[in-house]
Amino acid sequence: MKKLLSIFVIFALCFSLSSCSDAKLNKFSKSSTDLFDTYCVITAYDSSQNSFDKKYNTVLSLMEKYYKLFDIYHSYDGVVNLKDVNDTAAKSPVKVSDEIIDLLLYGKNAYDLSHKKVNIAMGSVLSLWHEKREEGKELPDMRELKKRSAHTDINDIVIDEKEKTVYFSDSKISLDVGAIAKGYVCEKIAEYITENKLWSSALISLGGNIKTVGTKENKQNESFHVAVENPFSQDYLATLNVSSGDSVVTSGDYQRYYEVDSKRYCHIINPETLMPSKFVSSVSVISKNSDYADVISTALFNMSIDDGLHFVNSTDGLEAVWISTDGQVTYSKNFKEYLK
Amino acid sequence: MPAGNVAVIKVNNQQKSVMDLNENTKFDVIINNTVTNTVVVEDGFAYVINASCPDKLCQKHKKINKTGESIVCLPNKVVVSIEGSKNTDEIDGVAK
Repeated sequence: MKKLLSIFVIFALCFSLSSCSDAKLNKFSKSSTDLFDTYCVITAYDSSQNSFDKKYNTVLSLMEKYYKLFDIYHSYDGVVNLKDVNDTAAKSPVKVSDEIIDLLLYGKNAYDLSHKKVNIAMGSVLSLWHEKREEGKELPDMRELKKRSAHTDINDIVIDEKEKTVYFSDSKISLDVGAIAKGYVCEKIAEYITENKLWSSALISLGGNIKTVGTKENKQNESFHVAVENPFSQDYLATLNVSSGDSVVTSGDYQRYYEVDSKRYCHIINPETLMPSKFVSSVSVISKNSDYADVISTALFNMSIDDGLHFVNSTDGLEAVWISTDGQVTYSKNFKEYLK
Repeated sequence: MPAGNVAVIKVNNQQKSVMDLNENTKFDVIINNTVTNTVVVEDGFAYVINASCPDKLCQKHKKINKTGESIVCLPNKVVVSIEGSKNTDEIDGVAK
């Protein structure tokens, strides 16, 4: 009888313990204003603030690591980052971390995926635009832009995967990974969350580049609700149901820009004209991978809506919505399936 | 905590104020003895006026009232976000 009782106790204990771990999960979120020159938010369902905070701190450390590695403006002690690569890779091959090799290989891939509309070797052109935008007074000189654009051939970025080095075979070339880094890091964070079983339900937002893990862990197990901004209205363009690894990335002319003679010049530069793109006001992309969505949203921003529509409708697993410069909205073939 | 939604103001992740969206009020964010941003609650919406940052993106941002929405002033590390119990319109993220 005693034995039976103890078995019963063990059963009861197991049951109460397991029901404890199934305790109601709540939604928590924390943010940073220090990374990637943007607002980064991690939202997840967890059992307590304390449990969420602990896991958030490990995610934050990972984000900081990527931020330092991919920074082209600052140097950090004990880190060989893209600024160091830009400063010295024309002299001799620079030994870099696996993360940098992986990002740059993806950058080369992005050049093909985007039909040459996203080029990480455009640093020399983009740095001049960056400088002028920071000063906020005038446009860059077109002759200077053209001179610099002669040094943007992506094949001059030489990556040795075995030796883990980067070398520039053009002394005036430089890297700018702004068009791919946030989407890439979003994807890496999602992988980290899944592999380490931090949360089964999370949403990562790096400055509006959004990646989901699972669905919401509320009663209905709903999808996450992701609103798409409409620069022409106080209301959102749409609210989307996004879940199970899907990502949403927007490229727009209304977030980062500067004005010269009351004309607006946005931060996305068309590689063909070397001027800010003027095809659309904004384009949002839905796709499984946030690194891909980031590249494609920039690519679509650099082409006409017609060309973009053709591209999206003939690519599996890709949807998009465009807002034209006069506020007209165009949806890709199956975009409406995501509308809430 | 008021029954409806509130606007929570944080500077560098430190909470500075909780504003009830049902009450028309103003809050001055003060950093190093200087007012950097003024947050206004009016007719159930929160928005930012008078920002000291060069880009004024927070000042140009639309008014917010839905749980999960936020206005961010990166240069001053100021975040205004909507939190609360009225979750019918809850938003988990904004693609922008």
